[in-house]
Amino acid sequence: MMKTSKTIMILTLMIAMLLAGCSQSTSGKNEGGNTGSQGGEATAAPETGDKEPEKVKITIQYPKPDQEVERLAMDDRIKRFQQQYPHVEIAKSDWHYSDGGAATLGVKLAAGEAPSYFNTYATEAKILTDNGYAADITKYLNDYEFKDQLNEKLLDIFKVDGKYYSFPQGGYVMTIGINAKLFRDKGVELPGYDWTWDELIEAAKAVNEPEKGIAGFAVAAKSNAAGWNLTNFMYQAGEFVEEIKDGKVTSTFNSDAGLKVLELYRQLRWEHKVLPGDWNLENPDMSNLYKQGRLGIIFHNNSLNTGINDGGFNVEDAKIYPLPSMEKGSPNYAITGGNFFVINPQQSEAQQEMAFKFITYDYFKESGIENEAKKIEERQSKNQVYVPDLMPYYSLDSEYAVKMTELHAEYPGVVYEFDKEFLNVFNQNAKAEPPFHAQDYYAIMTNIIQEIFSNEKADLAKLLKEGSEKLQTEFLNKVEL
Amino acid sequence: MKTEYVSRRPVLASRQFGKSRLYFWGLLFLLPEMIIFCVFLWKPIIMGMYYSLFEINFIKGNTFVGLQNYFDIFRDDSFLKAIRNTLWYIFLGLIMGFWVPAMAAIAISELRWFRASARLIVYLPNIVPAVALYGVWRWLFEPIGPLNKFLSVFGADPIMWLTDKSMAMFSIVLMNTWHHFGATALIYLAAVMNIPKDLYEAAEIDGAGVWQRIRHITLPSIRMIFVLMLIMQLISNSQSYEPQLAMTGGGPNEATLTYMLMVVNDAFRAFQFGKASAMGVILFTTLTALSILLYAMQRKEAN
Repeated sequence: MMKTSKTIMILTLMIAMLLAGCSQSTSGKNEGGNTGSQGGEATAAPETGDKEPEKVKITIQYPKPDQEVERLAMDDRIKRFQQQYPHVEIAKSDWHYSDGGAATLGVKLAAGEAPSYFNTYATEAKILTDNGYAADITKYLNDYEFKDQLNEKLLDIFKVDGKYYSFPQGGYVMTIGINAKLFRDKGVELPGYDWTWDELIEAAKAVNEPEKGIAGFAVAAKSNAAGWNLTNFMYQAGEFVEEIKDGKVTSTFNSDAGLKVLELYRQLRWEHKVLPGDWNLENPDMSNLYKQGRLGIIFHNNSLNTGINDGGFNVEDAKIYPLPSMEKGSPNYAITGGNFFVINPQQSEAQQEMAFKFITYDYFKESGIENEAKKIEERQSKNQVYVPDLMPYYSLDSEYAVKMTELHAEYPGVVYEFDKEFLNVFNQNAKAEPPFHAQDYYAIMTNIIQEIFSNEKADLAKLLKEGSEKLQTEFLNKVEL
Repeated sequence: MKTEYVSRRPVLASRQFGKSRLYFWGLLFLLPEMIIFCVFLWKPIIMGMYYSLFEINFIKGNTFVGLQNYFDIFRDDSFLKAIRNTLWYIFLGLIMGFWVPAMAAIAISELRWFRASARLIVYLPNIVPAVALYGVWRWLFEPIGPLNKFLSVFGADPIMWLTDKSMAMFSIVLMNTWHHFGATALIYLAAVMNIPKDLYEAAEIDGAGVWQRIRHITLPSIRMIFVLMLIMQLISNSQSYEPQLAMTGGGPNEATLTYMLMVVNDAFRAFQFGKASAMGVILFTTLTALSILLYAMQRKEAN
């Protein structure tokens, strides 16, 4: 009996130890805040008399296996970087933020497996900074030699309380794509760049053929992308969603301007019937329809790549347009955003510094121009078109921008040439997302959009009122300024 | 007395040693299972209960909030919607899907030829990978897709399978039934094949037809499997979220937002891991109570 008890005790202990071991690995991180230095510690190098820099290990974001050109470029960068910083050991991680977003990042941070830096998007700025998933890089940015040549509009997107939390990789301003072939086949003139909501509706109606599965226009109606798309129209109607009043953040979209936008959505779906029959779409679904030639107009800022490189459109058939304005002469506000590098806040100071140096290693350098040339040549080898960033990380009046323009000019027919008139107008009224609880606001608006699209008799004023109250009571009331 | 006690001790000891050895090997074989269950099942359950009392933040640390997460759940407008939708999904699953595998199994068992081929054909949908399944069914459900084309032959108006609030859940159940009925049908088939053949032979001699055989022999014989499958379907459907997430994202306007999809949204979109854990605890408690009740009823009936 004693032996049996012993055996059971030993087994119980083994299980308990195993469980305890598992819990220890996470509990420390949950409570430890920014003190950890996972992913490789900064360890002192052997003493040799002179002061040698401490050894540092960073984990970099490595391109996916199918990105051969990018991998070669990254290997080359690692080699050059380590020649300059021999004390830095570099590990590779092919986890990218797009593989699960902030949710997966949170789990990776908790498990101590997040890389030293990762690539993310402007829409994630609030989530990452609110949850403490992004390191404050103000110090490194202030010391950065090319800070003055950076695109300030992009830098400001991840700026919270005067602190910077990301380094810009490239940006965008929301645009619209038009399948010009559908218009040509129908003998319909394309609208001008100074178009209005009414002209958008007319253009959509002109190419709309539901019986053939061709929709005139598509805007996201699923996931938070729906609310995000709608916000562009809100801005154009003069409704900026939130304001700071009497020291409080107040929801303002229960307004006449807000109502106009919901009415526009109702008309698109029920009066003009220009949306796809299966309207419950998000960006990849809309891109699929556009590629298949089943969409006349797509509300999507990457429509050129989708149409030309993925859908096989002729270059002249994929048109890019600025967003319309509500009426002639009113501002055609468009949300701006982009891709950014964020540094893991759990890394030690030495690791964060090296991660920053690694991210910016090719920026404003000849090697950056060589990398750009490689990307263009890769597209060329696939008979594709290279679409340059509309909002690069560098300021367009910087010396570096001149060099980049010269490079692009060396590849006529490969590098997409934007219409000059378009370039003059597309970002005139660029505006950032609502600053407080944008994702929660988008989620509320997504439900409202789905109600409008699925219920012809939806009470728009009631939906707007309830949505605005929900945002105020559940989220904005908790904001401390 | 003393001598007797001393003389019995080695006998007892050797018996206990034999028993211990027996237990030792048994426990050793059980050990991997016990570890897996503890680490991957019981630990998450217990940690879920613990986390339900905290506001979780992986970086800034957790804050004890007591029962606040539970109060937040009951204040959330979507909570009642999610429960109602989940019950509706379970109900539709029973109405549309529960009888299909049993019928298929009985039909196959009555076949004289091609039984093996029929078994394979019935099982095939089950091996379709989820990604392909959702892609194909989104195409089938398109407003100008094959299902609506077929209906138009009879002059019917096109159905908005996934964007009409009253149809969306029905469409998902339809797809799920097609995907899963094969695996359940094989379980029913195994039960049907185990029914002694002499019962059927006797019934045939007595002049029983196919329907009489099914009604008086097959169905009563597989009654317990029906109960088991019912419990399994109730548990699995009450936790469903993948098809809703993939096909409609919970829309239109939360018409297909199930309880588990709300948990997933709260955890991985809103990062309210504490609230999501609290919802998990509520579901766990409800399902445990339901399972105990059903098993008790089953045992009572068996007795």
